[in-house]
Amino acid sequence: MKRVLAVVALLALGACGQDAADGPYAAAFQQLRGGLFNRGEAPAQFTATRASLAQAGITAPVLVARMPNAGISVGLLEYGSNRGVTIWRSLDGNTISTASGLIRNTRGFGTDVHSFETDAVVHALSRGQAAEYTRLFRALDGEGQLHAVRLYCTLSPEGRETVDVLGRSYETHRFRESCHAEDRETPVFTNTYWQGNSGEIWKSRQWAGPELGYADLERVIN
Amino acid sequence: MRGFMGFGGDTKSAMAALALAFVSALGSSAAADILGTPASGPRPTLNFYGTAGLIDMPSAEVMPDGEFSTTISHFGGITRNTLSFQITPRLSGSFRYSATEGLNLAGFETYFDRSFDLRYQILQQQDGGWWPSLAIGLQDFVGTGIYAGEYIVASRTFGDTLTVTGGVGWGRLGSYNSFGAPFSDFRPAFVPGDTGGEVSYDQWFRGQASFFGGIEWQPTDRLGVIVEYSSDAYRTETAQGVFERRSPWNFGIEYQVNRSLTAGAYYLYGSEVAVNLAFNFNPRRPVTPVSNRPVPGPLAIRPNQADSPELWTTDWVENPRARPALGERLREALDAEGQDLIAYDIGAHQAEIRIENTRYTAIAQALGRSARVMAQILPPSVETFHITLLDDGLAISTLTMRRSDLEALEQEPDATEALHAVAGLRAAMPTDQEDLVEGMFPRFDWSLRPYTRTSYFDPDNPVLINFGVRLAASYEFRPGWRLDGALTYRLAGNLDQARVSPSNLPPVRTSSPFYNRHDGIALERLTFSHARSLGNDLYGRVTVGYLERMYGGVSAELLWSPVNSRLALGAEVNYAQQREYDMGVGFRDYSVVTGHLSAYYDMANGYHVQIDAGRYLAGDWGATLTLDREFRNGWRVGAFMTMTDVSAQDFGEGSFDKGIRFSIPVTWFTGQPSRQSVGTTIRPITRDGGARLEVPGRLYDRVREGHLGNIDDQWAQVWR
Repeated sequence: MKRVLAVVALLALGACGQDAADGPYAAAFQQLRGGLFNRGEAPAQFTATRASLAQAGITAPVLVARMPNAGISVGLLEYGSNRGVTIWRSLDGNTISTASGLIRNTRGFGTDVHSFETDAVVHALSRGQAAEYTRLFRALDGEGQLHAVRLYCTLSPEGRETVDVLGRSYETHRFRESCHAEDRETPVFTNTYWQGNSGEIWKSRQWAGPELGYADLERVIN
Repeated sequence: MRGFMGFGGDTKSAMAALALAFVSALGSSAAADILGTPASGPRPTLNFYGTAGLIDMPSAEVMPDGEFSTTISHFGGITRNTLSFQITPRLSGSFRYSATEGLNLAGFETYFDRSFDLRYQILQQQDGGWWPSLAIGLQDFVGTGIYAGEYIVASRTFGDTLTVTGGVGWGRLGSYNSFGAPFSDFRPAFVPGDTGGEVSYDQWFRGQASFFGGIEWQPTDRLGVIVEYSSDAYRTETAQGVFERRSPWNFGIEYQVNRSLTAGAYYLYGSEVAVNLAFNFNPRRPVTPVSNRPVPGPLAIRPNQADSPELWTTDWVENPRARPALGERLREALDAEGQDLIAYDIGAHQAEIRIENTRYTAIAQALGRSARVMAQILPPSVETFHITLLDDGLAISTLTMRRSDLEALEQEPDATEALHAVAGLRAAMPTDQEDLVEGMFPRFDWSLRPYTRTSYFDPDNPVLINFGVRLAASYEFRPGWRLDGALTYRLAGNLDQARVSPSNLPPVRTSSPFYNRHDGIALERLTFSHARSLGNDLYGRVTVGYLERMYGGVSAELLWSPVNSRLALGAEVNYAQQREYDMGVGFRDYSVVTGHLSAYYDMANGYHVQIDAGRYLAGDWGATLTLDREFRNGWRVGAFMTMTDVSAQDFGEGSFDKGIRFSIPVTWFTGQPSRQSVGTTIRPITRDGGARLEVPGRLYDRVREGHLGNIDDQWAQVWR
């Protein structure tokens, strides 16, 4: 029990409280109260350190996700994998799935990423050179209908950089990925990936849809 | 006996034209923007009639598809409340309730009026194109006609801030500074006190016509400034001194407070200060986005068979305790997902569960979560999952999925489409007695909830409302054999003040105010019913008892509805006797045999049409046409009209029965999963012609929910 509490304290729940059990009306009341009087509680921050993780007995890899647009700052534990896709899960059950460090989908964060194609980027990153490819982005609209948009992307290497992930530094290659959609002048998003020497993405800034905005991801291995 | 379907040929063709306009207007709605691209160009705003327009005049703009709006406008003693709906991307409809103080027509001090509009955008201005948008509209086309007017109007936007509008109006909109009568000189005059309600196609675009127009400038995202030239002379109003019209020029300033609320202040007709408040909703813009929390755990993946063959054994089938134990675990885990496990059948290689969904708006979501539960609990050897959906014990459909497909697709970007391709849906067999969860039946359930009952447009009180509590209970002997009852107790309200209007027909619905005058406990419903699937795509239902507040009797229904068909056909016959006003167990001496043949058609893209032809409560024969638009998240907006062999004179005010209805899922407000919805049916007036018996548990809506059209529409929720 003590350990569970410690974990709860360490991996802050972010903006997503576990209010689902309170039923629709209670949630609606919360929503109204927050909206009308601006009394929403300040989002909790991910505050763990490598030492505190070790102390809590967390040996599994942790994905730290910060989405400033959505006020989310949360640590997710590696939960499992399915055919090369890693599923990261927060204590309140929200998940982010990644393939070689690239966001595949999110669940439970509100307006989620239904799915991203990642194969072309993973391939391009593994070659480490500039590349052009397309990716499909799928999302649900407010009505609950699934839409897919084809994105036209370019990947460019931007040189070497040393990055810090929770107090540990890694030698990386930085890559910038810029993706456009038809009939839109400005890019839909520009992602940044910091790739380690053996190919892991230690750190990244990835777009997670218009509502969540950019997610800053860090991969913590103790 | 009056002739079957004996309504007038003209109204019939108008009905057909309306249906045709509805069908032909089904454009492909522009794909919603999932990238969050901001809208470009000036935003359309609502005018004093609650439709896209300038101030008192219409424009050729359209609101976003599906937009639902209510406006309240007031000037010079005239108040208009309008409910509008963008039915398709180009077709919109409005229902209006207006009050004019000091307009003493037909003996009322304040003149109340209800009116309907329809408008259609023929041309839409294209990005970079030269042609303006063009729209044609019918204002007050079935009311008493005080606001009757037609128009053809063009609007052209320039950049992101400016819209210029010009048009030609007839009727009311052709009454000031007319340039002549281009199509026909004759236009029948507005007759106050007429029963109204007839489709006034004989006056459309006839009589004098005038030009109107205006400019709207939106210097910021929120602010708009409007100048307009009005072609409405307000002859009836100015003759009665309601207000003084000194000028055709109107000026206004509008401010968009937030996405839902716009407020405007105006100076109208050289004499009046005016206000307009517009509330906008869109089914596609939920108040709270659906959170889908608690999020389902990742799909449980089976261990590799080659690595651990011992886990894939089927020996467990021999253990007599294994199946009950698995069933109990399934029941518990499904219960946590809001799914009631009614029956199950587990074999070595396949398993079926029968569930009642009590939580999710989308059936596909209930099915997806149930499949995850099965994957979590059932031994690895079970490869095929069958999930049968029940509604109050009525077996509807069975979805079949391979477990290895679920595992292979879960994390794929196209998981939703791919699973759709490999899942199978078929009509369900009735539930086997021996598969029932032990100790499940008989099932008793009850609830105590508040209720409201409303009545609109009474001449003395526009809104009458009762509040109270409802105690409902059900007793299910076996799946599909039920006893349902509800008692209500009024706590407060003024519904007892509703007027009873005289009628030339048996007072089958005009007597409803008498039922609201009773204090104390009322028996709202007490029925014994049985519903079952009969095989061959047929479903049957029999209901006996106190069916609704005003009638009791016997009802039998047969529905043909193949699981993958857009078309369904039904037949229902009822014997109904009118209940005592005290809503106890007694009956009055009016009884009738009533029933309908029904055709239901799913026109795709969320549009549904229903035709019911038969005999109504007052013994009149005729047909009801209902058109609904349903959104994937459960929003429903619809309109209906009933023509019977009752003449307009005998029907009374309104000439024939018609109305609009809407239903909004509670999830749309809260973001939390729920099966509840709020909504109402609004009739401009309730009369006795074309009145239908309300029978609880009619089959079509229950069966359709688990059939292909609906599951397809909501399939995107299957992995949620």
